[in-house]
Amino acid sequence: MSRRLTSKRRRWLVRHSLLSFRRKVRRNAGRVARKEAKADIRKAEKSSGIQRKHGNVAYKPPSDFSLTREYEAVAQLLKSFRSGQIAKDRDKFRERKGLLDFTNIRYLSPAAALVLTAEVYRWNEISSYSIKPKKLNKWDPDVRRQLAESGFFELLGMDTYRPTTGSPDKRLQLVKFVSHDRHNGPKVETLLTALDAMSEANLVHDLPLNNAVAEAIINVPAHAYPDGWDWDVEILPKRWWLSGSFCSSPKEVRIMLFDQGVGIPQTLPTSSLGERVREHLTRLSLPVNQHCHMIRAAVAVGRSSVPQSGRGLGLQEICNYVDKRPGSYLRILSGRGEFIYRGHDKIECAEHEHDLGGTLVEWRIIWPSSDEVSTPKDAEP
Amino acid sequence: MMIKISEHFSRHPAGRFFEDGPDNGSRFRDEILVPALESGEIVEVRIDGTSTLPTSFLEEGFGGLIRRGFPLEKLKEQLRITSEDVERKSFVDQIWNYIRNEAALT
Repeated sequence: MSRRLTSKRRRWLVRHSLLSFRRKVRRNAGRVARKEAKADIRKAEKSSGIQRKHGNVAYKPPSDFSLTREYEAVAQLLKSFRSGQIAKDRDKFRERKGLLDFTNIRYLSPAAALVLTAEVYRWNEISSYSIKPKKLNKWDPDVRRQLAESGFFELLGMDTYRPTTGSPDKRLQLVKFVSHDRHNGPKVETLLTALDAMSEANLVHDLPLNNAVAEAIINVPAHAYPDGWDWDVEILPKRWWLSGSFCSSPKEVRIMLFDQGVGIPQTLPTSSLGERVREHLTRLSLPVNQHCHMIRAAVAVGRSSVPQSGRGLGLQEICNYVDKRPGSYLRILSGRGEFIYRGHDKIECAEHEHDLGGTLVEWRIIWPSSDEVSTPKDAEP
Repeated sequence: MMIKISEHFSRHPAGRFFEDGPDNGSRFRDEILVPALESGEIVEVRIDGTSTLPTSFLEEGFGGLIRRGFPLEKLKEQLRITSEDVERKSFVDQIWNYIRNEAALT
């Protein structure tokens, strides 16, 4: 006996089927949108050297791993490296292992090597996932040697790894990085002693240089990791990394300090210098929101102010060394800004698309005479 | 009384406060300099032999004496800052500038 449909039940059925149809459409639309978003992410990741396969994520950097010539590509890779594995919401990533595939790197700049080393350091401290080199025997021998010198492989748990293949070009040598969360004189001295052993530059007894490095380090716990900041990645509070390199031709030493803090431009609004930085930029008719000009203004204001009981940014002493040492230069990469100081008010600024994820301070010391000084871009091999 | 920073305090003085590092200016001032000045003796501070003498340390260590309540005139009478190193002579003037600047502010 067939049941007769009442008008009430008919209306209910029509309404129910309509709702279920709408739900299905919404579900499918969501699925399609998610699939498209995932495809976009994969596409972006692929262009920045990241591949996900079999539950692993492989990082493949540009062949010229330099923050001078390939800043955007290197910064993009480092950003993906940070957000992919050590982001606060990392549970949504299913990768079990990070693989570093550096087979295509032909040139590794000491500054980029330090920033990368610091990222791996953080990975080890924070992430439960392991990170391993991939196709290590196919990496450029010189790149392998430089990374081994810098202490990179020790962070990967390969303490005894000594690259022996090939005939490495020893023109550029790195020293093992040191790291701490406050100023640590003995550690800095160890690093400078190692650089002196290569270069005979007598950096250990160079008081203006030691003062510049000390002030830059002190800036890290004082400013780089402000309390109450809403971090999108997990941080190692107040941590800094210091490294150095020696190039025998042209003869130059580089000393680099990196922190994974918010960056100088972000600290300025709450800093004692903030108001004067804004005034300085307005007076010079420079954009107040460009990171490179914010750094430039912070340096200018910091250099003209008298150190008092409050906190300055120590930028005066960081720059002063360059004035005292002809042929040297200072580069600060912070946030998206790049600031180069060549002494006696010779300044270059550049604004980048990607944030470095911290602040890099690099002193480059070239000798014996300023006549032999080359520009940063053409000096790199 | 002679205080050699490198021997009696640290070879690597740096920073203002404890969070900057262990060999900071406020520790030097409170643990070494203030007790020496409170003894009433003439205090000679020798700044040679350190790897660093950054602004933050010097300002907090010496300029901070004014903030601790030592009058400028008393410091001029009781405090001697010396160096045998030509390169460090300028730091002596720098330190006295920090003290004078702080005194001018208070």
